[in-house]
Amino acid sequence: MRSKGDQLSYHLMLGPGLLVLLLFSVVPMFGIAMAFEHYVPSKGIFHSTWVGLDNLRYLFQIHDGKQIFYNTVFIAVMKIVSNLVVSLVFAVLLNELRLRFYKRVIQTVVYLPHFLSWIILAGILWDILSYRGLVNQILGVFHVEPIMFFASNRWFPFIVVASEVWKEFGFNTIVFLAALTGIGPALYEAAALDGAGRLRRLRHVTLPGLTPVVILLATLSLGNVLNAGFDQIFVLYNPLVFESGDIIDTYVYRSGLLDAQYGFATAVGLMKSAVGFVLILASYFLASKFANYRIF
Amino acid sequence: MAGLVACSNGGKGAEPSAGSIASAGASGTAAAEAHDPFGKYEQPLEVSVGKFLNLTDKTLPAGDTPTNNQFTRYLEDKLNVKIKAAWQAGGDAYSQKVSVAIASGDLPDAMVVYSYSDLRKLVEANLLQDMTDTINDYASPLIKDIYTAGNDAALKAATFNGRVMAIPASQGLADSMYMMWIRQDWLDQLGLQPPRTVDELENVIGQFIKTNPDKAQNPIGLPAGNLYGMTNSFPTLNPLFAVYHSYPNNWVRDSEGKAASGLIQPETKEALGKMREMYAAGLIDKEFALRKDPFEPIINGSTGVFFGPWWMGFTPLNEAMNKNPQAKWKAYLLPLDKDGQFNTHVQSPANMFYVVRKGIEHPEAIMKMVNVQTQNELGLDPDAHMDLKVDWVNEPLRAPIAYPDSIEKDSEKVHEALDGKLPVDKLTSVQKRVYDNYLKTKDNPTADIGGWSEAFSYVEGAGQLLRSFNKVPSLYYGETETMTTKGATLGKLQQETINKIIMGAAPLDSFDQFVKDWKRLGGDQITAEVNEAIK
Amino acid sequence: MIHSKSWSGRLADGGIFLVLTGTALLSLYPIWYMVAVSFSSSTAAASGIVKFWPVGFTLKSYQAILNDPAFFTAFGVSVKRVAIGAGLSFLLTVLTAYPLSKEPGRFRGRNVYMWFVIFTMLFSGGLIPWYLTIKAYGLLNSIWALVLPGAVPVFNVILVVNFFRNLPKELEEAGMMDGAGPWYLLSKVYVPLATPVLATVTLFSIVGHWNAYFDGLILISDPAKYPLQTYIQQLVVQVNTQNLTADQLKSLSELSDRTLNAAKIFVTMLPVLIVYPFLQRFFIHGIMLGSVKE
Repeated sequence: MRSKGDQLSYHLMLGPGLLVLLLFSVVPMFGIAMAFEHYVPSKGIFHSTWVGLDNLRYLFQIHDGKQIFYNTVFIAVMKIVSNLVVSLVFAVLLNELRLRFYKRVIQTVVYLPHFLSWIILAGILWDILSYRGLVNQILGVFHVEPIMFFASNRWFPFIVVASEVWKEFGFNTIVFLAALTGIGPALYEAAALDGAGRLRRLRHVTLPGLTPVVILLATLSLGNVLNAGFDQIFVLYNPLVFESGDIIDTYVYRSGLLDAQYGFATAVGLMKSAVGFVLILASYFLASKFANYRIF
Repeated sequence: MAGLVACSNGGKGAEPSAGSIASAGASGTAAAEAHDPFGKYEQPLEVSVGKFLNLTDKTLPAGDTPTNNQFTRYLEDKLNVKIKAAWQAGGDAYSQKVSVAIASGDLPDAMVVYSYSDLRKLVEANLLQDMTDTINDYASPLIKDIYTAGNDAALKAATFNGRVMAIPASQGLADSMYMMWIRQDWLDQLGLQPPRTVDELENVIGQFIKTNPDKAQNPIGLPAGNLYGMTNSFPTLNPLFAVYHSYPNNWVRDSEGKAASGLIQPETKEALGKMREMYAAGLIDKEFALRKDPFEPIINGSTGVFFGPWWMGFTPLNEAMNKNPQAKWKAYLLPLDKDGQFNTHVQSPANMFYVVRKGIEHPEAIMKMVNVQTQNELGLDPDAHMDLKVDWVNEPLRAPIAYPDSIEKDSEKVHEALDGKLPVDKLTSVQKRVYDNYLKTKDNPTADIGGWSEAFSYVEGAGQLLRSFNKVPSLYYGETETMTTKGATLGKLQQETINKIIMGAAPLDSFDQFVKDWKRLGGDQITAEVNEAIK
Repeated sequence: MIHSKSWSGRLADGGIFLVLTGTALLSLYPIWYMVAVSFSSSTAAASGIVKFWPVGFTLKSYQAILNDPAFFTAFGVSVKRVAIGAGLSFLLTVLTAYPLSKEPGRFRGRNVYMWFVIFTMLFSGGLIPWYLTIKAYGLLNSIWALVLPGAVPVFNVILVVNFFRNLPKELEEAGMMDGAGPWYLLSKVYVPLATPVLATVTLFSIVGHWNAYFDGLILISDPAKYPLQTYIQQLVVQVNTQNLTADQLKSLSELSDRTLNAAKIFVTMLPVLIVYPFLQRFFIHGIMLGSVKE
């Protein structure tokens, strides 16, 4: 029933964007070939020796590989979940706040840590969590022995996750708040007229209204399931917490291989992308098959 | 040609006393084309460089830029070489640019790389011009003399398969010699002598922590940002290892006379045993492995003793003096081993390299530039007439070529002048500046903390290096194939184990298992490669 | 909106207020700390005693910034980059998102395009091929190298697609009854209704462009063309003392000047602090429009 004109318009609209993606994302993908090569710069990508899956195989032969893989997934998944939950709760609470000006101020403030580098935040974290830092002083009041948080394999992953949430939850909060504005006030008014209390409005109007965007963000973040945050962990960790904090990216960085063995670096990147892509695909099809819901 | 340059440039003519090398350049006029290290090109020659910037540098006069200043103009006058920057970057950006240049094969005619591993990558990528003959034919007598003074270690560092693949820079070795820095005023106040043995050191640190003379919030023991740094990374515990003749960074001779890693020797275990005791007693910073900024406790008076190289006046002691101008820091070559000797490892003189793009038409042009710059930096070019205040970072390519004992030499001359044994006008410009700064700041450091930094470092720090002590060079400074491929695995194993042993989280005897694991996971192979390389 | 006036309702309001305020204070502390450091003496900062209030109050850092012409040059480059980059991204985001928000039945090939877009978000050829490609286009060392490669922010596109899809279908139906084509519907109906989400993604792209430093580092080679964060990055280096030369020691104390670095970081945050509240007006704006249409 659609006219040819509309189809043409749609294609015309897509044209410029697709062209940019083609030129700057797709064309450079010739470099993926490096993942299967022993790349030598003077020979170039098209003339280096083909080594098949050797680069990838190397990744699975590293010492403690299982531990590193586990750390990566554990930290990344914890981050994804905590970030979504905290920012969702925060956005909902903020939505309940009546003081409009204060609402804006808070919304701005929680986005600010996003602008600071991990080096600065690490300094602050260390200060608070050090042997004689604030947290241990408070624990001391309750006669708890001081804890070396940064040397403890029990605590370290949680420090990483909590500080990530601290830095980044403002970002998702903004997305959720934008989505909340999409819920028509009429729905709230109707609910109120029905005599729905605050909690019921939350359950029947706010949360259902947010569900699509929550699912969307969750699905997209699956693409990062092997990215546990190099910049952060690199400045926070130390040899004592390698056991719980060493992730694929930090390991590969320390190996110096990123600089020297381009094929290996590309193979690692390719594997991370592929795993992320498969997970996103899977969740897309599961959602459409079992819930008859299209995420994108 | 060269004669013409001398005239057109200064017009004053060379002083005869200027040294034989400069006149060697001038006398090259007759045999113009025959390998003149300072020969001028007939036609202007453009050289593209990757330019390192120091964006905090404020020494350039108005109107000058990092790519057009007294240094570039002088090179143009002297050699007819025009500098063009392929790119310019400072700090981390520079190493990023170098990495991209290496990986993409998109090199400027010349640039400086600041690590051996960058050089190795460039050679393996087959991107570099073989400089063997160019150096032979065109290196100035001065530069050849500097290389010889360092037993050609610099040239060896740049040699791959018998060919010299870069023009190596050559640094003073002083940066790798760690010494003890201690609060003399605390010692005096407590009636203590500078600790000569490890036992005495333990006592002194204990007293420092107990009495906490600066009333610091959290007094700590020895800080150690890095347990055993090779060069300039500090605070470390290097001298404590060296007391037990342990040199974890070095390749040493084992009992069979073969090269072996200093890390896995029984001496290291002995040293670790002592450190473990000290840590348990709180004499080593409880949080040494975790601390994000190991300078803080030094600056705020939480510790009165640490180990670092000669230049501690530049940082962190400048800030420590600002914080507490009454503090009296002193350097000592202590503690001593059981024979009463002070030991230290020494670094390779060459950690930086001038690299030249493969296939360049005039590779000797880069050598000539380095000749001219080095002559000038050492104050041996009478034609140069440079404003000495302008930072050398503004040279188109900058990596120092200095005698291995250059720091000690400067310090020695300043000491002689201060003692009245040497007339002040015999000092070089740098030495004169240190001398003046010392007189100006010795009673009132904070009046000119910048001047104090330099004077204190040269006089107090480098002054210690004039004594006699035991310098232990490594048998090998390069990087073998397996070091790269197994580096992360072995590094992780090593850092984990050694930190845990010191902190008491693993028994001392886990060192033996560590040695076995280290060998098994690639250490044996690396050792074989090193023995092959030094054969 | 109608709010309950009961005791429990007020208690809940109070609780919410406290939780939000507490969280906001936690988020504010690092910025407050930076400001305190930027006004402290460099010695106090280096000795780690600045916790909450400036110690040894001084304006030296800010004076140093005002006297640094390169800082303002870089600032200008960044402003230009944000203006071009965010403008372009806005246009391309809207144009790309609208067709993709159509049901596959209405726009044939929609799913193929959608997966193509997602694919480009996840996969990349790596740094070196990316650099070589941009070099081959002749874009190196120009402002276009900073804005064109990321001109279609895929994450933002997907957010907008999602928002468009959730707008009432009746709007489009009604428009089409009146004979409106896709271009008219997009510009006169969808864009105004999507103001909140468009303000959000615009904020993201402004911030993204403002904060980006790595592409400048790789693609720009002339210091006069470095954007602000790339410039800052070269000042706020982690001093690698391993390879210091004797003459570099002199600059060491300047490089590690924490107070100056803190001041610079704070100054670079200011524009965002100004732009953000301005954009927030559009969030509210969106609600009112929505209610009118309903």
